[in-house]
Amino acid sequence: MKKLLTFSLLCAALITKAQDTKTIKLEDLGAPTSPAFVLTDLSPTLVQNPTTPKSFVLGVAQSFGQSKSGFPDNFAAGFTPFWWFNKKGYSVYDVLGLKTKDTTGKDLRENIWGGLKFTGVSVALINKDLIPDAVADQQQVFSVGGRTNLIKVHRKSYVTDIGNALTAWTKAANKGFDSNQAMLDAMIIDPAGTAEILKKWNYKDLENAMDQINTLIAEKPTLNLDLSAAYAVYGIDDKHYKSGRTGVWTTLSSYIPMRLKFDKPTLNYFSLNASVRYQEDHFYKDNAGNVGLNRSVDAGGKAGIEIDKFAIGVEWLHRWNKAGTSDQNRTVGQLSYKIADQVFLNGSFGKNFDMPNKLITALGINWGIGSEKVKLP
Amino acid sequence: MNTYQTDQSQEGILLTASISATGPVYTRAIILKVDEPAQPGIKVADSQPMDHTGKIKKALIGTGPKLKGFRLGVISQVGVIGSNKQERLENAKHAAGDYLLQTGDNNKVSYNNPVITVTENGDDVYVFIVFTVDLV
Repeated sequence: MKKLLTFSLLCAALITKAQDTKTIKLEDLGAPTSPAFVLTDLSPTLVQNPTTPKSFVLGVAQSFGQSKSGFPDNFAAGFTPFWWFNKKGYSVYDVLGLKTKDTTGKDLRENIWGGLKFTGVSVALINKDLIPDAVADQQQVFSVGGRTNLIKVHRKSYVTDIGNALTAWTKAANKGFDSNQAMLDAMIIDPAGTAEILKKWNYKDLENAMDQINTLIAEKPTLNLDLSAAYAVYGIDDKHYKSGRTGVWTTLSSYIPMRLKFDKPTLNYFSLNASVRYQEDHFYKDNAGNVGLNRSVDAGGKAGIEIDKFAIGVEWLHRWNKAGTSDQNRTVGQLSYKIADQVFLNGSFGKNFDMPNKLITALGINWGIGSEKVKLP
Repeated sequence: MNTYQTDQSQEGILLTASISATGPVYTRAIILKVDEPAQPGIKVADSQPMDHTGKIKKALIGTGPKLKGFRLGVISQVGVIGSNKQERLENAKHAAGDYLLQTGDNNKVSYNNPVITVTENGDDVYVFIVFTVDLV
């Protein structure tokens, strides 16, 4: 089943990218969730992830340098400023959002605001026709956005399990060093040859301990609150730039594990999400075909069940429109299958805001409550 | 490769270190003669000076007075965490470390440019950080 789905997806990708000589990775097919990209419907294959300010500036400079118009043909970057400016002093506890009184992990507690420091920033400079008029000209679009995790709370014994897993890992690493002693000596004698020497390193002692940690990391929180915001400016011509879209949205999620055993992956959940989004679109096409400003507020939720790689759920949203468009509802049933990391095959059926009674494909782009989704051509 | 002038009046040298990493860290210090690695001759007082947080306690390295001619190596292994392999490979880039050697007379040397190597074992990702100092 998985092979068939993967093959189908790759064929579709190859057809749509037949003119593109770039190698496409399966992960690249996942829909982006960074706000600046969501707001502009950006393809994830364009997105760079600079790990330093220098590489970010270099990427921007190169994209300007390659452009004939003075505006980058396409440039998009998503990054976490924390990694740019706080390189020293962080430990595994900081990354996991845990507090401890000392380095031994005593009195370990969850820092529910631990995700704030990993606030992500996304920037996009693209040429795209985002104005729904009769003219097919592309606009120069500049979009910037941010996304943060305000609150994250796991089950009560989660912290204890993490602490135990870290201790188990340290013991396993100690054992691994003992069984690879000859290589330790070789690395000290010839540090430059470390990469070659490590090809023979035996990781057997660490595999179970590493799996335990990664399984716990993958565990979803019982309570999670995210906040995102983005703003896009359109270049109407060479001299005039106008506000295009502005969006702010938040999602409160709760994942209730349906099976909780530390020695087995916790992959089955009953999930409940509630979301609110405010959006301004200065180039919205209303029912009468007029293009102008629309302010809308969406609110709703989603309930679902996740069993291993399958997920099924129903999503309901109500939209209040300010422009000459009546309020709308969206009721969609969703079924998704995880093909690979970050890549979901998604099928949906129901009524969308502007597509009544039609079969629709649910996208991370429009709402994406929950996991990332991939759009089928 | 760093070099470090030993003080023969001291019984050993102190090591402090800090590894910043997106995962648990395990460190071991080893001292040996490059041309005679099987017979180090000097014991490492605490061969596991660091716990999984990467924050080191001060540790005495070497219990003998004759440190000249030996090489001190400190090797850290980081188990990089992340929700998938792609994220782990990204997180591996954030591993960094520095350490400090100190004798009793407060003579210090810092070492901030270790050899950093990223390795993979299936979907798991590790970073090895190797410091070496020749004691002359």
